[in-house]
Formats: sequence, structure tokens, C-alpha cells
Amino acid sequence: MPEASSRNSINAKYKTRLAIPPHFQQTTPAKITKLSRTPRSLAAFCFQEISFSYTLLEARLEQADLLKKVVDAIKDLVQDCNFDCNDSGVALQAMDNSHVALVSMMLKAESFSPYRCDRNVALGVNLTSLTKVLRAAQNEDILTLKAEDAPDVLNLVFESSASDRLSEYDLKLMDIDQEHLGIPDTEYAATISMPSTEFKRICMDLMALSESVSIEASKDGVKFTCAGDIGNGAVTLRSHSNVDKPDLDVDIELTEPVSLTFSLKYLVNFCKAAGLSKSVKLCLSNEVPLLVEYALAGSSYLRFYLAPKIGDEE
Amino acid sequence: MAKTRGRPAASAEKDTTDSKPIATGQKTPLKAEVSNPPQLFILPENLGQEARIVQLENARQSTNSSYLVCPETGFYEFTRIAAPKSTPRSWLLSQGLDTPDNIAKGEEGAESKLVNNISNDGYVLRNANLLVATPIDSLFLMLPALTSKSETKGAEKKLFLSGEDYLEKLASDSPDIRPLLKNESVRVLLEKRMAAICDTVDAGDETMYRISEEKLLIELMKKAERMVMNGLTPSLEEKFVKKALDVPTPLVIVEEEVTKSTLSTPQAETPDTQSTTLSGESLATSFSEASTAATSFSEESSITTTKVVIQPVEPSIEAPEGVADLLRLRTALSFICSKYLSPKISETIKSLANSSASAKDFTPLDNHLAHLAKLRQEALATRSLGDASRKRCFDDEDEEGNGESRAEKKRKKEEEEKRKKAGESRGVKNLKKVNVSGMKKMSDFFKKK
Repeated sequence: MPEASSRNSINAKYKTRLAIPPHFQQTTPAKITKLSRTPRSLAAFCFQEISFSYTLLEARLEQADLLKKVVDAIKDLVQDCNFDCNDSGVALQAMDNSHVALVSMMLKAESFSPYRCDRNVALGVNLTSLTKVLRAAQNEDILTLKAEDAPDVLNLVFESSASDRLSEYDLKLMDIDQEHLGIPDTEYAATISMPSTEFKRICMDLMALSESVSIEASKDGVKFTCAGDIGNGAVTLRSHSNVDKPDLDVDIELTEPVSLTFSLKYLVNFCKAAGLSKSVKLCLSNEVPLLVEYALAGSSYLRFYLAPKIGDEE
Repeated sequence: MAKTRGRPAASAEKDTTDSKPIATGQKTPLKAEVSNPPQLFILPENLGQEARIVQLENARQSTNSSYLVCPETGFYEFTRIAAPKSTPRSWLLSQGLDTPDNIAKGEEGAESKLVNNISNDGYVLRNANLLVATPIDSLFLMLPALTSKSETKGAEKKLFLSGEDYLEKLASDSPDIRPLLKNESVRVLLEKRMAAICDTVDAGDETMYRISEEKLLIELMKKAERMVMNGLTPSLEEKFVKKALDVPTPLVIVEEEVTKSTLSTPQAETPDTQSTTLSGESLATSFSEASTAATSFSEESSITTTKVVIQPVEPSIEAPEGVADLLRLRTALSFICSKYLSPKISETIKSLANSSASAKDFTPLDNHLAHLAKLRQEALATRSLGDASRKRCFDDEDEEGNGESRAEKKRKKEEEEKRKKAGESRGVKNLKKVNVSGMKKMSDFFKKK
């Protein structure tokens, strides 16, 4: 609750500073006709130009940090992808080159303040290029995304809350043909919540030994095992709750035992999102992709899906 | 027995002194080339005194060609047998055996001086041409006279004319024959052959003639049948019958054979692969040849008759009963048409031969050929899909055709690739190396929206 109030105060400040009436474009045609007869025709001309560059999307993020981290986490998995913007928020779904992993991101409208999207628009972006632009933003900067109708660029504005620095970038967009997969809500046999750093550590440690890890969830706990040329290793976690630091809780919900093998390289890649959320949720069922979910503020999320390895072909 | 003798062209007589006497046992330089060198003929033995070489209108080319006309034995055409240009040859005519015949010939006749010279000293002919006189049906010579009317006036109804009129017409077209027409036997010969291909009407004591395509076809068919009776010439048989009836083997099967043979015995590989390329080639050539054959044939046949026909070992013709014979007959007919008939008449004759009015029914042949064409098309389609080497070949052609645009395309492609590489993060690059065996695609789990 204290968080929400602080957001409101910043909101108010922002509004007064920019003083842009929402949807002012709809009223401009009348204004232009009126002004064009007056001697101040130059002003009218300026107005006209503004009204042509109709802003379709305007999304303001309190902290550039969020988008920076999200893009950082995805950019090593996919190269180009569409940011699908609609009135409920900004969504992203993309697969890696081999189509064995899928990333699904949802930044709900509530994560932005304000958020306005008049029509559904897909912003095709090369993530490496976006990273380059985002590098110019400080973590605490206020970030505003803007796009026109039928855009060929994505406009990014970084405002430093501390100083009155304002930087503005246009990123060229691209046409990307992407197929969207419908992902049904699944009841998983095992759901494991753990600190995201813990999951990252396990992945990194086992990666030193092998290319793949087998995850076994049973009533005893969850066991990550791997076997490689130099030897083998296993990490076992049991349900555990820490009263002082609830972030370190490990929670295992199990309806039936599961054992699946995954590529560690991909998992390590997913772990780049560890900075986004203190905890990570692993959902497993036999013969379906593993879901690795990082919950974000609000009901936004970043989810990764990875196909299990079937058959021992090592 | 045909005898060989040099026969000078009309103007060659005065050049007799230019002929090159070679003293035996002594080297003599060859004299300068004669402007109109004598030519070597093979003539029929029993030519009469009245026999002449005359210029007559050639029905095919509607130009004048030389024919040998003998009132006693009939008409002869000349077939030139020449060495191909790539391997130039000359005749060396040497003193032959002193047969009494030779001596007798040497003493008589106006042109005998040269003959004498040759038989005494030998002679070098620059052109290794040999002109062989072979009998020709005089109806082919009459054809221009018989048909020229309809050619000029087109749709006008053909009129009956007396034989006299036709001969007059022939004489006006080819004035050389006029002196010969004074000979009764020549006239009778010509009229007899004319009657064979004409509708006739008796008008008083005179017989009137009008050409009949049906009769002409019947005559031609007889000739074609005779041509086929003892089998076609090997080159004709090879080119127009075997190739046309060659059943294309689908490439997939051939390839299978190759792989099989490689597995079993390595030695068997070579002949097998060769056979595949051979069949591929013959297929490709047979297409182009079949289409151009009709036009190119007449010249080829008259000039390169000496060409040695190498008959590759090929599987025997597989075709329904009688089809091969029909094709041979048609080939013979079209050969005659393309060599002796004007393009216009040969068109009429060919269409007539294919129509129901013809004595022979060619429909089984047509059906079979259509079937083969379909098979070939299929084979071609599978080959263009399956055979990588052929594909390469087409690519190369493409490159020659529009090399510039291709180079540009390539450059663009490279540029794009480069740009794509630049837009690729390290993580994405590393993921490419990951072993994804045993991992299903996401689309196997989640359905497309």
C-alpha cells in the first residue's frame, strides 16, 4: 500500500509538468480550421503537424530498470520479436531459433502509469538494438514508450527524476512474421517455488559438470541431478520456510512424482531473469514443457517454457 | 558394274590443258587450281547415247538441281557424298588397270582427252565429292508442274489439263528438258507416272490430268512401305524410332539400382552410373531432336551420309505390337516428304496420312507416343527435383543469363546475413550450439492460435 501511494504522488507531479490533455488530437481539427484564418497561421501549421503524428501508444514506466532487465533476460534467447501492445498491456511471445524454448512476457497496463494504447499494435524490435538503446537509460529513470499509428519507429524517452535530464531515442522497427501459440492453463503435477538466486546457483553449478539436468520431484523434495564426463552431482531441496526471510522459502506442491531432463544451457539462459524477481516458480508435469515463471509487480510476469529431453541420447 | 570416270562440267573442256600431269617416278609440283574443277560421278552403266545431265526444278527447294535423264533407263538424281568439313579430303585418281573398256572409252568422245590424261597420269581433285546417280521416280519431277497452278491461285479449283500442257509447263520451268521431251520415250515415261498420281478424264482422244492428293499419298505410301520393308537406315532407325519409343526410366528407380550396386559390388558401380547419365542425356537430346528433326533432316541426309553410325547398345524397343512398324512407316513417309515434296504439299500429305482417309491407321502410334510424352514429362519432373547435379546445371545457366542481377542478389543476401549476425546476441549464438536432440518443438505442445 505505501508503494501505491508513492506512485500516485509521482503521477501527479508528472501530469502537471507535461500538461498534455489526454486525447487532445481528437479536438485539434476544429482548432486548426479556426486558427488557419487568423494571422497566426504559423502556429496553426505547427498544430497541424503534431496532429498528423498521432500517438497511438504511450506507456510510462516508473523505473526503466524493469524493461532493461526483461529485455536482458530475453535477448539471449531470441533475436527479434514483436511487442504486442493492446489496451490490457504489452505482451511478448517468442521462441528461440530451435523452437524448443518459448518466452512469454506480459507487462500489464497496471505496471505502467499512465498507460494508453488506442489500437492493437505490434512493435517488431531487434532485441540487441533495443538493449543498446536501453543501456542509455539509468535504472531509476522514468521511461516512456511511444509509438505512432502505423509506426516505423519506437520512441523511447528517459527522464531522470533526480536531474532535469531528458533523453529521447527512436528505434527503427521491423516487420517480423511470428506465429503465436496458444498456451492453455495447465494443472502441473509439481510446482516448486524457490529463491531465484538458488535456482540460478543450482543451474550454474551443475552446468560445470554436464549439459543436462534431471529434475526429480517426489515427496522427499526436489532433486537436481546431472552426470558428466568428469563426474556427477546432485542438489536436493526440501520444503523449507524461513520466518525471518520469507524470500528464502522453498515450497513444493506435489500431486504426483515427476522426473524430467532439461538442457542446462537453456535453463542458465532463463536464470538471467533472476534479477527481476526474488522468487521463481518451476512447474513440471511429465511429457509437457517445464514452466519457469518470474512473477513481476502487479500481475505481470515473465515465463519461460522449455521442452524436456526425451530418451537418453547423451 | 558402275564405272568411275571423271566428267568435266560444261566449261571444263577448255581447261583440259590445266590438268596436272604427274610424270611417273619424278616429282612434279602441282599446278594451280582449276577454276572449275572436274567432278567425280558414279553413273549407271547402261546409259543410252541420249542421256544428259540437265537442270530441273527441284520440287522440295523450288530451285533447279541437276538430274541425269536417260530416255532409255529413266531419271536419276545425284546424291553428293562428301567428307565432313572438319576432316578435309581429296581424291587422288590414279591410272587404273588398262581394261579394254577403259582404253576404248579413252579413244572416243569429246571429253575423252581429260579422261585419257587421268588414266595415263593420275589426277588430284581438291574436293573429295562423289556424286552418285540414283534412280528417282519421275513423278517427283512432274510435281512442280502439276501443282504450281494451285499454288499460285490458291483456292481456285484445280483444272484438268492435258498431259501435253503439263509437259509444256515443265519445259517452261526447266528449259533444259525441252530437247529431251522431243524423245517419245521420255514423254511416255513422264505421262505414265503422272497418271499414277492424277485423276484422269478422257476428252476425245486426249487424256486430261488433275493432281489427286489421295493418289499421291497412295504412291508415297507404297514407297515408304518399300523403304521400311528391309528395315530403315540405321541412322533413321536410331534417331526417329528407337529414341521416340524409348521408355523413360523414372530416375528414382535408377538411383536405387546404383546404391544397391555400390553396396554389393564396388566394381558394378561404374557401368551403372554411366548408364544413368546416358539415359538422362538421351532423354534430353531426344526432345530437342524430335522437334527439329523434320526441318533439319533433308540437308543432313544428303551431306553426311558418310557419317558412321555408331549404334550404342540399348535395350530393345518396348512398344505394343505394330507400333514400331507404324512409326517406321511414318518416319519413311516424312523422310520422303521432307526430301522430295514442297513444304506445302508435304503438309497436305501429312495431314491426309493422319486423317481417316489414309489406308494406314496411325492412331495406336499416336496414343503410344502421347503416353510416352507423359512419361517423359514425369521423369523430367522427378529428375529436376531429385538430381542435384542437374539442378546445379540449371543454376549455372541462370548465372550466365543474368549474371549481374545474380551477383547483386548474392551481395544483398550476404549483407542481410551480416546484418542479421550483428543483431544476434552472444546468448543466441551460444544457444545455436546446444544439442537439442530429444527435445520436441514447442508447436508440438502448444497449438497455433
